[in-house]
Amino acid sequence: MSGLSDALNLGKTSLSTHQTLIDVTGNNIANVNTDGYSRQNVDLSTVPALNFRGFQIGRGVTASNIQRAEDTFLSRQILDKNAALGEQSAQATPLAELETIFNLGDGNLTSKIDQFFDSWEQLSVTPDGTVERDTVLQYGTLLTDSFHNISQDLADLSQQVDDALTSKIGDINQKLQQIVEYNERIATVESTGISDNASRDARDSLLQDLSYSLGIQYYENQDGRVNVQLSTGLPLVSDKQAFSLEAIPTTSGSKLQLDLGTATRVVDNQSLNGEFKGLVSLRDEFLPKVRDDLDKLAYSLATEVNALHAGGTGLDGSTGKAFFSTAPSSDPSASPWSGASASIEVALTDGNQLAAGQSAASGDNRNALLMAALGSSEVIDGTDSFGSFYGKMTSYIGIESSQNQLSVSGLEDSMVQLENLLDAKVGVSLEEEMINLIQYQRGFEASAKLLTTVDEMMDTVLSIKR
Amino acid sequence: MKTTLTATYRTLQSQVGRASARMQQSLETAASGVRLNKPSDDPSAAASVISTESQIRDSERFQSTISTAASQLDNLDSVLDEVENLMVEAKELVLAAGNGSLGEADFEAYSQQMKMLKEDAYALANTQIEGKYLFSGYEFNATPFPDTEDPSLYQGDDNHVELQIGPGQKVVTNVTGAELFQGQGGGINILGLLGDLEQNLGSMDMEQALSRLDDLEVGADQVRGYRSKMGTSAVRIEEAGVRMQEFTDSMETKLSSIRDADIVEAYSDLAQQEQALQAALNVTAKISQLSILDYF
Repeated sequence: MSGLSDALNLGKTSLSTHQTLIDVTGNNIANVNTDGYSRQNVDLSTVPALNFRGFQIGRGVTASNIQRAEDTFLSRQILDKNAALGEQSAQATPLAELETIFNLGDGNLTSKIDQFFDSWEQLSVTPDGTVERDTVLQYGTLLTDSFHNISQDLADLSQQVDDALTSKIGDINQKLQQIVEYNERIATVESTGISDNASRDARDSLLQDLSYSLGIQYYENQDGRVNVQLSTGLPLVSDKQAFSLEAIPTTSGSKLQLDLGTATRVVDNQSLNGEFKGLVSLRDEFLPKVRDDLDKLAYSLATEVNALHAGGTGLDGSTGKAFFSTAPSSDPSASPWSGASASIEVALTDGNQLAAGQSAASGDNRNALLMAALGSSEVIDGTDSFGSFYGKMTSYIGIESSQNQLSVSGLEDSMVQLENLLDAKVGVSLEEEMINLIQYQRGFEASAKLLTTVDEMMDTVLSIKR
Repeated sequence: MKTTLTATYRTLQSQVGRASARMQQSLETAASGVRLNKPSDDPSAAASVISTESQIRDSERFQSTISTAASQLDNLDSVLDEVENLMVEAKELVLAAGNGSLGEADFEAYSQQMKMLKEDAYALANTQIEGKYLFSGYEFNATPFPDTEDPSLYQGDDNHVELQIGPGQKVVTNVTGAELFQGQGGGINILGLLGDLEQNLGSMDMEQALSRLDDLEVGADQVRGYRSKMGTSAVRIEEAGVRMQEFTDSMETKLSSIRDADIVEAYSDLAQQEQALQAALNVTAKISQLSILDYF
């Protein structure tokens, strides 16, 4: 039987459904500025019709589910871009730091090298001058100090990069754990057929964060859980379990490994992306190369100066003496210059030992002349003088840094583009919501009107019999 | 495509951020007048800046050596001038002594004068400048001619002091006592000659004294020869100084062209960036004026 009370009931479903619509719209508006929030919309369906007097008569409307908007393609693209952006952004600060170490200012290493060879030239003018001899020793010490400072700065920078790495690990492990928790919640809630939109939004945000720092891949199971892995397939989250990253301190910086419960696996740079890749490649590839060049410079300088110096004779008749000393590396497989920039010292203590001449005669300046000429000879690999080698290093660092700046700004641009595109699909547009609001309000008003009408009809029916 | 509030503001923020960063950069360039503040500003120019600065320091160093060498040669020249004059005086003295009949007392006086000339010659040969003997080669501290009675005794060595006045360019700044005074290498021992003449005059052996007139002339030429040789060195040094100054100037110009900002360009850049930022801010203000909420 389809009576007035049925119409009342129908009006009731319409009222309450429109209320849901208004609620969801309100929630969308409320979250217009929430990061990672996806616009939600309500799936409406008619209540199954009943056969009455040979007609299928509808029985109102119901909200069957609340869905969130998504765009998997764009989300994946952002995930990839995030990893690339993370890699470049993580390098920006250390590279800027490196640029201040290898600066173009007046006090750079080349100027110290020049001063040192200048002092030999001065000595060649006054080979028996005590002041000139002491000056050579002093500039020699200043030069070795500069090498020590740069070497120490590089070591500090390496350490800072390492600290940045290890400090992020705790955060990452926590995020992996949270993903497992969201996985469980989503699986439980969605088994009843209702979408767990808030948890999915939160989990997506976590995945984006992880991609930025680690560069991950993920895929979703039938039950709504996601599995997360590194680009080489090492699992981070598998079904109900999260595996944690660990940093093992070694002499050459922390090594990463993954605790798989039953075993541990080393995480090499190949498996990494995002910030971690940026930091690890800086620490393990770029900085060691810069340090190697610096060591090579210090070692070549010491070796060449020593060879010339040993061939000369001091005022006190001493000969065969080395001007600089460098400690040989303890590692036999390392290059001969390994560690030279940290260990280079002036070996002479007395100005009279300076071999300005090739005889002990006070006016003999032959060796000082050779030494002054060494300053501008191309002795490193036969192509570079000491000063120009440093110039090349600076240039190399400059190129790396400027490329990094370009990449960061380019990636930031494309991130803005992609996020805007994604927003167009899944973001909250106030205009849209406001218009929806009017639409739903009208619907609500009409349902109320229906109820009043039915009510009046009831009155009419009741007033038939007085 | 739908535009959302977040997207609009994200774009604006990124634009305003970019514009203000660029303005900051222009501001820095305009204020400091330097285009290259760190290697990444222009990596290819960074190496040139460092090597050019190094070359400038090099040439400044050479210039200071050049001025030292020039003053050393100046000193040497004035000493050689005195030696040359001394030779002329000795010749005049012999000619005066050989002129006409002289008594024993006259010869004694001439001999005394010749002795003084000889002693002057020894004094000049032992000239010290800043405590260093000028004519003893590398042996700055050894008196080259310690015994006025023994002209063959020379305590210096035969080395020539060279100074570097440019890349690969060296110049000799001394004459050894052996060359100049003892005539090493086919010359005349001037000190010995003056000693002989003193004796000849003392023993009134005029014939012998007059026979040495040619030797006196050869000795004077010997001094002149070395003087002109050192004069050539002085000219070379002077030319090197001029060249080095030109080189320094051109390097300074090069450095400035690599490193310094074109001030006109910097200011117009700054104005341009300022406008861009202003435009971005204006648009941002406009956006917030337009809202659907005003129509309800």
